[in-house]
Amino acid sequence: MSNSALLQVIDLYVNYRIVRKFTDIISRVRSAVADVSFTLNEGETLGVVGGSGSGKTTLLKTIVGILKPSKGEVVYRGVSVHNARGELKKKIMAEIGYVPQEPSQSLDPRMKISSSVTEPLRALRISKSDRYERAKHILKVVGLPEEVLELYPRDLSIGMLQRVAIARALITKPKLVLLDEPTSSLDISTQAQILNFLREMREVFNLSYILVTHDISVASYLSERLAVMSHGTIVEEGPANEVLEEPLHPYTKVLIEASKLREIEESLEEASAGCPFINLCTFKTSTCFRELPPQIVIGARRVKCWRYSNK
Amino acid sequence: MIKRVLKSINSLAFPISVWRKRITFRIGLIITTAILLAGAAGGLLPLIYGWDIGFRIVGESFQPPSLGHVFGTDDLGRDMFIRILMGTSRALAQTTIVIVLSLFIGLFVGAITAYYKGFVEKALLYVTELFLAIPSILLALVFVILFGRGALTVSLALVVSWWSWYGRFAYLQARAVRDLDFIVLAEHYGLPGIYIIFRHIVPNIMSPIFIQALTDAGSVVIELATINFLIGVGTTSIEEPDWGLMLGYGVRYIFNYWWIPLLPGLFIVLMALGFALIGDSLYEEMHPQLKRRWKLWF
Amino acid sequence: MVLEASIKSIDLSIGYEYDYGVLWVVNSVNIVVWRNTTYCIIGESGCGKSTLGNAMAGLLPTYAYTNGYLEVEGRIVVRGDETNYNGVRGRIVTRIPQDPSSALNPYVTIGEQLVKVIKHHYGVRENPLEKAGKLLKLVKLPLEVIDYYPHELSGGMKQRAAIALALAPMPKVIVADEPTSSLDAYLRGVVASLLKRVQRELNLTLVFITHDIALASTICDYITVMYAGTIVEEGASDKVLHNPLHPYTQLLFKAIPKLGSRETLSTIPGSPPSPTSYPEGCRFRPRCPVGFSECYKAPKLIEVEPQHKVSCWRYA
Repeated sequence: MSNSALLQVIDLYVNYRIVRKFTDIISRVRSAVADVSFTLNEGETLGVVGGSGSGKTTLLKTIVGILKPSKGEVVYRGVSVHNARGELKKKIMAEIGYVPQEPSQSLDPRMKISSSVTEPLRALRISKSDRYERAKHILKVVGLPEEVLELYPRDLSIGMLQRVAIARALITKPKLVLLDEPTSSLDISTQAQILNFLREMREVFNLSYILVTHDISVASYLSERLAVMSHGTIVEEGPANEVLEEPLHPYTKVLIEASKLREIEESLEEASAGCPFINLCTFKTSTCFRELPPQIVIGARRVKCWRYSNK
Repeated sequence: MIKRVLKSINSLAFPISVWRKRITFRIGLIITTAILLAGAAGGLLPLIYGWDIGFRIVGESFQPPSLGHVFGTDDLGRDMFIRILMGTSRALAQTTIVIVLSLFIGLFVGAITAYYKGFVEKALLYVTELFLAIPSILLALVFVILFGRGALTVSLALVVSWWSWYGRFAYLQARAVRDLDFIVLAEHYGLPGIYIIFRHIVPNIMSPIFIQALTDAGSVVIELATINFLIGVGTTSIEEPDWGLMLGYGVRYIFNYWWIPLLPGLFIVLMALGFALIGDSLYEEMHPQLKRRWKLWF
Repeated sequence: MVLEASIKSIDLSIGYEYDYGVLWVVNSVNIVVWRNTTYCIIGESGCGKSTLGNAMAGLLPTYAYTNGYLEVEGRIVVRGDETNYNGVRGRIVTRIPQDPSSALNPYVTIGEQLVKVIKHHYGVRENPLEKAGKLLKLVKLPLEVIDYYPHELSGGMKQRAAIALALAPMPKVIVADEPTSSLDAYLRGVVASLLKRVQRELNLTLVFITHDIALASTICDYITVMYAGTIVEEGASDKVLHNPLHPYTQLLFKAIPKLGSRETLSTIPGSPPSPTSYPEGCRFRPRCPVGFSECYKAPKLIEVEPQHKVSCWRYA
């Protein structure tokens, strides 16, 4: 496995404007995604864990190309994703698969499964019979019977729909697959099926995943690296086992506790400036109240917390 | 080939289930079928008996309905039954033109308006709402002044007036659909806008609009009849067997020779009612959340 | 400690009217919910747990049919095909829905909604604003929330407001129908803990319905596992969690990904049956890794150890 960087996210910011009252002359600018950078190598899986409003979906959509960054860039195999045009863009997009969150909404209810699954191939000008052949093949790979091709989304269960959505992402033989909360709308047993399935696919196709989820156990099951996201930025990042065993950031600790199913009572409250996690932290210093902590690198890990700075 | 036939029979499952469940649908369908048969007969009559069949004087004037003349004769002695039948086919033809054309134009304009966003969206929306504000009868008058009188002119005028109704409807539906994941994905893979509009957006917004169109057919009939009732410009001559026209000059006989205005009036109401009942029951069927908690006899 | 029954059902069945008759989604369920406990109903989507919860709360739709017997806090609410929730619904039992937005009127501030409910139940006896303030403090919401509209609150806060609303009439029982499904992992823990704390402090009976066993295991005293409209296992939570007996329960526990472990998750082949085509006899039989010929007959709930019952022929 070569160690070439597959994807690089560099200083990404995705901003939006808020106009509170119509008398505000200057609309305030807030960042859905702020100061996010990471590199993904071939064959790696990165799990991005965060709650609602953490910016994880925005981040994913920006990487896919649905949203445009306000600052920074997303580079896939050396090519800037948002600047690419025409044929080059189509080629890049064919190598990046995307599985959206809700399986019931990611497939056109009016189109047969065969049409939905082969759709990504249309832009690549592959003939109709070839497309159908590839659809039959990919359905076999994901373990669904060929007859499913003639059915409509309403005839399938959610678990099967999610597999179809994944099959569609895989039909262009991508190198990187972006998954937005792939199991959040599924119940426990279906979730287990899909998680095992994703592992299998990764082996078969030698894929890299970026997995966005709010459930840290799901993320840790599939990923070698974990990034914890909150308030639009990555507060901690590193190899999964290290992050889980020795979490550096207080939010990471809370997420781990939550998944270990202990009772939690603290809640995050909005701070006006400075670090938003003050309430969770036992280590607060005066700097924490005043300034947002910068990113600090410790070995293979990165964390945004004043505690680990040299001051 | 056989598969296609079977598929289309399969899609009849919905209307068949509605037939079983709702009496309004049954009544509506029966009425509409009767109207359609009448229209077919009215269309065939001139072919068999000659183009002037609706204009011939066949007996004495003001004859009440009888075995010889089922609907009686009018003030000039023409057979009312034949004229009503021909009026049916006229009304059907005109309504079909208006609904079908305005539906298609509105559907595509609406889809395009919603999909392209930004300036295109604002501009097209403005145009749509502009046309929506124009009253149809006035527009019909303008068309007649410009292009001369006649059924076709008035029908086309109504198309120009009605498309915007479907345009806005389609726009609102398309707006809900355009941000759905499967469309986002199609864009991601680089598929062109035209493909997305035709294969994704339009099929997903068609259903409610078609059903609305069924109900609207009733309104269109009434509009056409109104125009001819008031000013008669939807015909090329006063002799034409047009319902609105017949009603218009027949009204003066309402007390003495009631069948002359009443029958065209009745048929206008029947046609509008038939379409409205079908449209309404299909709509209620598609939106079970509007189900009434209390049950009346219908 | 004497356990008194808060909710009791005998052979309770609930069905929904549809085109071809009645679809029974809850079948002959016998449960007892003890007072002042947290009682969890666990199951996958479509197993009937929400319907059962609605029956307890008095929120069955008009097209629902009932059979059997259900009693809530001493009042008989279901007897045969008749239901009578007068005085029970909204007063003795309240519900927290899955989507907090459906509990809150979007056009009215939180404070106004609370005050309305308080006034309805207490008239002029108490100062409504003061009581509203107390309720908000109970759910750990800041007092300013009184003037906020629902859309100004985050998901977690909305759910807490919905809880406050459910507490306003001082009910004896709260039915929480998947209150955490729309929240992220962190907030789930917070809301579940909150509900547990409220249950303890106010001496309520909490019926917590969810598909997330892991979450339920943190707060419940009693667990019931439902599958395809029937109860397959029930008992005190420590007994069920440490010693799951029914094959469905066992497989469910094995399907949860555990932090730090990369073992392949065990899955249950197939998918749950739909109410139109429930299998004969034991409804889990087609998917069960173990099966005997007896399984073609419907098993009954048997007590295997004190406070632990299973419906499976393995233990007959």
